[in-house]
Amino acid sequence: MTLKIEVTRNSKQPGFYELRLDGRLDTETHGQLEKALKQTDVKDAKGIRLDLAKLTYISSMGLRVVMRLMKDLKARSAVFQTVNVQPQIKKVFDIAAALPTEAVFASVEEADAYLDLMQKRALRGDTKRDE
Amino acid sequence: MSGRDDADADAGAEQAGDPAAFERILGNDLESLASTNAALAELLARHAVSAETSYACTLVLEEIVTNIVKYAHADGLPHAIRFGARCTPGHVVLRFSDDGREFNPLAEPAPDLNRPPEERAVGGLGIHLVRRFAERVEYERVCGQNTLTVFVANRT
Repeated sequence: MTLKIEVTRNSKQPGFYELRLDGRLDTETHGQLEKALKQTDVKDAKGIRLDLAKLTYISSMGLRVVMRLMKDLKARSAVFQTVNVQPQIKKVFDIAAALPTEAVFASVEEADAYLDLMQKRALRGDTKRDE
Repeated sequence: MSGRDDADADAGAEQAGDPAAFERILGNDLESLASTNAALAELLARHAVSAETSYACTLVLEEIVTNIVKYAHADGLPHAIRFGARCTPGHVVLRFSDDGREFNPLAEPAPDLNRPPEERAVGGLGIHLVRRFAERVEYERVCGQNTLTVFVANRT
């Protein structure tokens, strides 16, 4: 069993990247995601989005890579988003309490809308969050 | 619930040619994890085990074997990990034996899940997942062997 990772640049938001994971994120494949996150530009991204529509399996090794990513992004005030998290994957994240609700978006459109909103707010110099 | 029944049913797992069970010896190097995974998936498919149960079993196999490979031995020598799987009407019973240092996963403290994930120490998650995905876990230390038996509810 394998993992395929497709990295794309968000055309509307400079500095934001999306990684589409297809397959299994486990003991055998987690190194591939680590490697993808170390690529030029991606490692300094303003935001990373994981599209998990085709992720069929995740184990604790996979969770660790995602949690470390969240930690790194938070440390430099970058954005972390997940979209299309499938129920069996959501269950593992939930048991580990590893995915904050503010990082979960039902669709790419929803996640994009959130980035738009943040950008508008940054332009106004408003750092407060909406209630 | 039906704990004893399962334990009795499981005792028959070693019978040769039992189509509801299989057993194999893994090395402590992760090499044989993929093929064991495939054999387990084949057994579960043959018994029309649900996707949910199948996911839980695959996860238990990976987490426990990875843990043994990483932490059970410090001598750098090859060691055998014995793995057995058996489908009973109520459970998929997964059993792991190793000759590594004494390790009772049931005695491990649960990770502090109240802290935000990015502030938490990264680790201890595998055992936590196993305990939550299993209906029951039993640990035994006999004659220098760790034996862990994991009962995953069998929802067909």
